[in-house]
Amino acid sequence: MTAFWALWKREVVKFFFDRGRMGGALAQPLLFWLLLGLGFQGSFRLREDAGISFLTFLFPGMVLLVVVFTAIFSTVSIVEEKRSGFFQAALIAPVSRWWLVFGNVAGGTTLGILQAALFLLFTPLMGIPATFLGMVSALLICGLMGTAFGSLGFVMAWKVKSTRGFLALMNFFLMPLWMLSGAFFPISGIPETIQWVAWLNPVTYGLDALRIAMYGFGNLPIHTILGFWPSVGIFLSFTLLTLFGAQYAIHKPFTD
Amino acid sequence: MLDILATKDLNFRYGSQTALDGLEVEVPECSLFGLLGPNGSGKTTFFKIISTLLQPSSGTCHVAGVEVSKNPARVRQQLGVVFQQPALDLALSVRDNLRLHGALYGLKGHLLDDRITQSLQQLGLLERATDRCRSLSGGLLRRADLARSILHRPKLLLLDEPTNGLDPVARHAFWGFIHELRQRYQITVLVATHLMEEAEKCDELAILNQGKVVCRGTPEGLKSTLGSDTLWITASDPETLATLLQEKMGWRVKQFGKALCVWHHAPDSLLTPLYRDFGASILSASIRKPTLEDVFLTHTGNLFDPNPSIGV
Repeated sequence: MTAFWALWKREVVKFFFDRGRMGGALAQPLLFWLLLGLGFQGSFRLREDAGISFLTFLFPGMVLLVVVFTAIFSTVSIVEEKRSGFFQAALIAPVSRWWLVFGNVAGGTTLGILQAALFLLFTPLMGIPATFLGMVSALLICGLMGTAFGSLGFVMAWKVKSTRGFLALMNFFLMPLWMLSGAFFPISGIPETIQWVAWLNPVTYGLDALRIAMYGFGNLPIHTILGFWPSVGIFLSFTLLTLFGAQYAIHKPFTD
Repeated sequence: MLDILATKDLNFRYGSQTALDGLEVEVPECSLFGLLGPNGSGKTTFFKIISTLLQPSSGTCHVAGVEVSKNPARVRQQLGVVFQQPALDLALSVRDNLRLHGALYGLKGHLLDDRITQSLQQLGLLERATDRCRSLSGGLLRRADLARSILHRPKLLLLDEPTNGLDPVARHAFWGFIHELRQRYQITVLVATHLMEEAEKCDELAILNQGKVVCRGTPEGLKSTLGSDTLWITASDPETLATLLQEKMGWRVKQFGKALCVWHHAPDSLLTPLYRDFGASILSASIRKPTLEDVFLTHTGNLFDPNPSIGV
């Protein structure tokens, strides 16, 4: 447990030392959101015609992106550290490797939640009818997202040989998963084959749960595939799966 | 004396490649033991097995009487490692790094704080405790890494080319600290190196080549196997000269790069015939005592004669 907190603290302290990372983690999703949101503003119309702007539609997806980016970026350093830094010593310490994963992922997730909270403060300004319970639930879902993608990042960092490989792999996975989660366009409006992919995409359910929570469990302007609890259930299963994946990975020798 | 580290017929294979080939090493308690070997001789693989990062393909490895693959947790508690690259988080301060590592060994509270202050004091790092590791020079970084590796008071300290990339002054200082720590804590130190200067400091040496121990002994003992004096010749065409010396003169010759080494019970008597018969093809010739480097090259070098019989 001591080790868990020490590793958690390492992630958090390092983040606040690193102004560039702090700025980048916030600025990238924000820019994405503004550029896409304003760019598509004119041509975007929801089928359900709920009368929300594209900026508003995109908002939950952007919160998701903030969390996911932050969580994944807190694992990128492991690529180098497993061979030539802090992690090589951590691996020969008597501490259980479970704590190494938990501590590292929890640190990144905490940072993700903190940044998500910053964005969620603006929810009422978006014309979204937020409630306190909804916001707290949204942050908890952000916690699941951070854990899932932090763990995925951990597995990737363990498998790849260079930071470059990590970034390439991350873009390969992350962007399609995000695009096809209903963050960027409603799933109901796309061709059926792609809909299938979206249904199989675990991020879809995470985002649905996040959306429902952000709208205070009230009237949503768009349809979600499942209700709140089933969505949470599916995403929770995905999170546990990735966490076990990270545990499995760290118990194997890494590839040089 | 008890052996803190003992291996029997230790093998390790990466796919079809053999990294360790029946390695047998015994390291007595409290000694400074050197592993000398060229790159790729299996030193790093051996260290990874001792530190429980790799499982041997076959054979046994005991640390303080505990088999590494059977009880890795016990072994880890006894072990400190200084890697080729410092295992420190460069973004954090020296003290924060030590706290983090203490936590990995279950140390906390006053005990940890006292240990950290003590270690920093012993290694002359107290004034730099709050500096970020990124701002430290190579020598100081190594020292901070050494402080990290002994925080949990290990019985066996592994140093994997610990002074790699340090200047001579920093290297000298590093070894000064190692000697102090050995005296204070009765730590056994196993150092992998290819620097002869470091090998000279060891109580005992094992020379590794292609995953095997090819010879072992004290530095003095190893040097004496090459006789008291040897003749070293540099030549413009060493291959031809070596063949000539062997065939025409019947000398025991071995080639190392551009240099030839000749073993003889009275090497000074060779100089006259050498210059008389081969003077034109010789750049220089000198007689000196064998060094550890000669021992090292004899056992691991690019051999002209693959199976020379060494001795006088």
